[in-house]
Amino acid sequence: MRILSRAAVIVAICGAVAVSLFPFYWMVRTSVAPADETFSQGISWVPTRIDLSGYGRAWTSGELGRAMVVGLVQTLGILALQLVTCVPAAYVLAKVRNRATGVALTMVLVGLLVPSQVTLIPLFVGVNVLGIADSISGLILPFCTSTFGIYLIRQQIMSIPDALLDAARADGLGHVRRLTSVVIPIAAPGIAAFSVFSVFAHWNEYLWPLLAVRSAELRTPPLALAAFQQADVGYDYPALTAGAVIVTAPIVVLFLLAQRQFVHGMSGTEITE
Amino acid sequence: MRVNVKRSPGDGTRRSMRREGLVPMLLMAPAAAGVTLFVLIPAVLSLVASLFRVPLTGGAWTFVGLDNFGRVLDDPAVRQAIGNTIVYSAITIVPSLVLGLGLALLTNAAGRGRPLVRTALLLPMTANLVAISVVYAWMFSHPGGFVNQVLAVVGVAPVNWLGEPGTALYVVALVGVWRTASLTMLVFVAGLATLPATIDEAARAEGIRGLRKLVLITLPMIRPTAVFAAVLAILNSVQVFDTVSVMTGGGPLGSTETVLTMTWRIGFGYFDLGTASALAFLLLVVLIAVGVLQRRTLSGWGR
Amino acid sequence: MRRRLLPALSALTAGSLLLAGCGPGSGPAATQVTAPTDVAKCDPAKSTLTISHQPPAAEAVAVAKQRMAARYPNLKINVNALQTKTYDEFTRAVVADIAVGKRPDLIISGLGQIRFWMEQYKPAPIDAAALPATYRKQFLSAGTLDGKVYVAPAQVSVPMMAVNQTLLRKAGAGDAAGIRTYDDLIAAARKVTAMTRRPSVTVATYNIPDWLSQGFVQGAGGTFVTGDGRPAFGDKLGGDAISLWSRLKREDLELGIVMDADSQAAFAGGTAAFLMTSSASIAGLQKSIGDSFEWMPVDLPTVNGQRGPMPAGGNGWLVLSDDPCRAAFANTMIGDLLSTDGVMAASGTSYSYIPVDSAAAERLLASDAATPQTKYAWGYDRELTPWGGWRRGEVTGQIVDAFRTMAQRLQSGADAGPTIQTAVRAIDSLVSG
Repeated sequence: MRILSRAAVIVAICGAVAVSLFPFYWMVRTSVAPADETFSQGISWVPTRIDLSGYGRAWTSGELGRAMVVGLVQTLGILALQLVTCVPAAYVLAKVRNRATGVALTMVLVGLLVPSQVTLIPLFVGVNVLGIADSISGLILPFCTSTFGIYLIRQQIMSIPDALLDAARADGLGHVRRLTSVVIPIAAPGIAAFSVFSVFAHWNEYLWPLLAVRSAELRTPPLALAAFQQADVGYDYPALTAGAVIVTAPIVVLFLLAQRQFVHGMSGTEITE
Repeated sequence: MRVNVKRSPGDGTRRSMRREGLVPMLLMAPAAAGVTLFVLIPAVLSLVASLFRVPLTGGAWTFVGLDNFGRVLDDPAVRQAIGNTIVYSAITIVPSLVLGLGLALLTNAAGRGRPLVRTALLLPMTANLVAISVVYAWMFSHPGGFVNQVLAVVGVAPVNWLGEPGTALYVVALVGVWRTASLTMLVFVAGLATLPATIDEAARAEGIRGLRKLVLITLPMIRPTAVFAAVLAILNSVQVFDTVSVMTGGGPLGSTETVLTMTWRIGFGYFDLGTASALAFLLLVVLIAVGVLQRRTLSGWGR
Repeated sequence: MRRRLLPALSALTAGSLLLAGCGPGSGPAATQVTAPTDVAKCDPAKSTLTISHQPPAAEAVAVAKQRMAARYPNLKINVNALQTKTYDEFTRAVVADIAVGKRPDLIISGLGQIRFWMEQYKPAPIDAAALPATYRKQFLSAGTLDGKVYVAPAQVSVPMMAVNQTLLRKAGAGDAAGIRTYDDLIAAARKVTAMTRRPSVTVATYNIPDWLSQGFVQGAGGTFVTGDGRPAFGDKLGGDAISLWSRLKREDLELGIVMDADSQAAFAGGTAAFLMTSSASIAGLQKSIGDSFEWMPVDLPTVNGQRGPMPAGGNGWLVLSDDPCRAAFANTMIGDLLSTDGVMAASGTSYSYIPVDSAAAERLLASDAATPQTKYAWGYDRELTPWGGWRRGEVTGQIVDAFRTMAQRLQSGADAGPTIQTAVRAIDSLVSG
C-alpha cells in the first residue's frame, strides 16, 4: 500500500514535469530541426540532424539582435528607477508615521489594485502629452515606480527592529545614512527578490510596448518576435521557434540563477493589511 | 508567508522621528509623484475619458455622458467578448488553483528530487508569453502541429484547433492554465512552508491522513495563501491579452476576443478611445472589487 | 482612511480633468488642409520626406527613391515599410503613428479607405496634372471622391478565379473558360471533389471579404452600395450572389481556409482546384506553381452568368503631409512612383497588378514574363467601379470587420439569409452614425 502510493506520487510528478517542460522541449526541438523536416509525417521526437540556420534568420530578419539590446536597456532602466524610488519610499512608509505617510500608504494600497493594463489608454494619452511616445523613455517612465515594489520592500523593512535604527540615530546618522548603512543591507534579500520580479515582468511585458512603440528600432524582444510572426515568414517554424528560444533564454537563465531569492520573495506578497 | 499583521514601531520612536521633518517627505516624493502620475491619475482619467468622445485621429474631446457605456453594453461584439472572458476565467481559475495546490503538495512529497522538481514546475511561470504563445500556436497548428500528429497516430482526423470557433478559446485557455498553475503553485509552496511541523505530527498522532488531512487541517491553515493565489489567478485570467493577441488575434468569429483585446480593438482599431475607456473602466471596477473582497476575506479571518 | 480618501480623490479628479483638457485634442491639429506649395521654392536639404507603405509597393518605392535622389541629392527620404496584411490594418498602423506625432508625408491607401483619410485628416487633393503623360487617366476615378482626386491609383486589381485545368481534365470537369455561373462552378467542383475526396474550392475570408462580396454582387449586375453610401446588397440578387460561401460549404466543396496566404498555398500546392482572390496574386501563383500543373485565371463566375463591372481593388498614393514643402516633394515623388519604370516595378515583378501606365502595359505584354496567366491582369481593360463607397469614412474599419464576420459565418455554413441581413443591418447602423 505504502509502496503503491509512493509509486503513484512518482508517476504524478513525472507527468507534471513532462507537461510543464514539453512546450520548452518542442520549442528547442523545432528550432534546431532542418526546415524541410518541419511538416514531416508522423511524430519525430528528435530531428535527424541539427540545423541552426533558423537562429540566423531569427536574429537578422526578425531583428532580434537589436531588440535584445532595447529589452536590456528598458528592463534595467525600469529596475534602476524603481529601486531609486521604491526603496526610500518603503523605508519612510515602514518607519515614519504621520499624516503624510498615512495618505501615501493609502495611495500605495489603492495603486496596488490598479494594473497598468486597464489604464493603458490614459497612459497612452499621457505619454503623448509628455512628448515621450515612441521613445525609450516612453517605455520606461510609466513604470518608474511600483506600488508592488514599495509594498514588498516595506514588508521587509518593517521587520527591522526599531532599536537598531534608534542606535544609529544616536550615533548621529540622519535618515539617508540610516537608510543606506542600516536598512538597505538588512533588507537586501527583499530588494533582490523584487528586482528579479521586476526584470521578469518588464522583459515579458507586451501590451504597453505594443502601444508605446511605433518605430522598428525600438521594438522590445516580445514585440519583435510578434512582428516576426505576423510578417509573412510563411511557415518558417524553425526560425520562429528559434526566435522564441532567444527571447526566453535570458529569463530562464536568470530564473535558474536567482530562483531562491524569487521564491522567498514571493512569500511576502499577499496583502494582509 | 506572513500571516501576522506586523505592528508599527513603538510610540516613543515615532514621535521623535517626526521631528526630523522634511527628509522623509523628500525620500517619499519621487515614488509619490510616480504613483500619482502613472497610476492614480490614469485610473481616474479612465473614468473621465469614458464620459467623452475621444477620437484617436485627433480633435477635441466632446462630453457624451454615459453614452459610451451604453454603446459598450449594447454592442453584440463586446457582449461576446465579456462572455468569452467569463468562460475563459471559469475554465482557467479553478483548474489553475487545484493544479497549483496539487503541484505544490507533489513537490513537497518529492523527497530528494524536490529542488529539481520545483524548478521544472516553476519554469512555465517565467516564460515569455509571446514566445510561448508562438510555440503553442505551432503545437496546435492545423498542418504539421504536434497535437494533430498525435491524433493521427491514433487515427483521428486533424483538427483546426485555432481556426474553429468551437475550440480556439479552449486552446488559449490551456496556455493560461499551464502558466497560471505554475504561478499559484509558487504561492502554495511558500504558504505550505509556513506550516509548523508540529501540525503534521499532531495529525499523524490522530490518524488523520490524505484527503481528510488536506480538507480538515491544511486548507484552513493556508487560507490567506489560497485567497492570495485565487486573486492572482483571477487577475491573470480576467486580463488575458498576450496569448489571444499572438495565437488568434481574437478570432475566429470573435470566439477568443476578450475584454482587454476588445478594448484594444475599439481604441486602436476603431480609433474610439472614449468607448474603449468605458470598457476598460468596467474592468477596473471588477478588479478593484476583487481586491477589496480579498481584503475583507482576510481581515475577517485574521483578527 | 475614508476621510483621507475623499479629498485625495477629488484633488485627483480635478488634476485629471485639467490634464484631459490638454489631451490629444489640443495636439497638432488633425484637421488641416495643407496645399502643396511650388516645389521650386523649397529647399530639399531642409526637408525629410517620410513614406509609409505595405509590402506590394516596395519595388516601386525603390525605383522612385532612386529617381528622387538623382533629382534632389540633398533630400532625405525615410521609407517606412509596414508589414501589415490588409489595408485596414495598415490604416490602423498609420493612425497610431500620427497619434504619437509621426505623421508620414506620403502613404499608400487601399482604394476602399479613401473616405477615411479624406474625412479624418483632410489631405490636399493630388496634382493630377503632374502625372506622366502615359498614365492611364481612366483609373483616376477609383481615387476620386466628391469630384477631387485624393489618391493616384498605383496598383489596381480585380477579383478573379484561378482554376487548376489539369485537375479539371482528370476529373472530366470540362474547361476553365466554360465556368460562367455558380451552377457551372458547383458542377465542376463536385466532379473534382468526387475524384480527390476533399473540398476543391477555396475563397479566403480574411483580407478582402468586403471586396469579394462587392465583386459577387456587381458581377451579377446587382447594386452593392447605394449612391448615398448605404448597403444595397440586402435584396434577393445580393443575397443570392453573396451566399456562394454557404452554398459551397453546404455541399462540402469549400476548404474553409480563412487566411488568404494559406488559401493561395492550397491552390499552388494542388489541394484546391478553384481559388478566388485578387488578380494581383497571379504572378506569385505562377512563380510557385511553375510547371507542376496547367492553370488559368478566369472571370469570377456569377450567380446568373452576367458580367457586371468589378470593383477596382488595390491601392494608390495619397499625400498626407502637413507641411507645404514636404507635400510638394511628395507630389513630385508620386510622378516617379507612377512613371513607366515605377509602374513596371509595381505591376510586373512580384505582383501582377493592372498597369496604370500605358507604356508599362505595352512593355509588360511584350516581355518574356507575359504568359497567358499574367496577361489576364496586364491586359485587363474593362470598366471598373470604386471599391466600397460607404458614407462615413470614420467607420471603414468596422465595416470591413462586419464583412469579415459575415463571410466567415457563411464560410462555416451559416444560414445565408439571416447572416446577410444581420450584416446589412450592422453596416446600415454604422454608416448612419
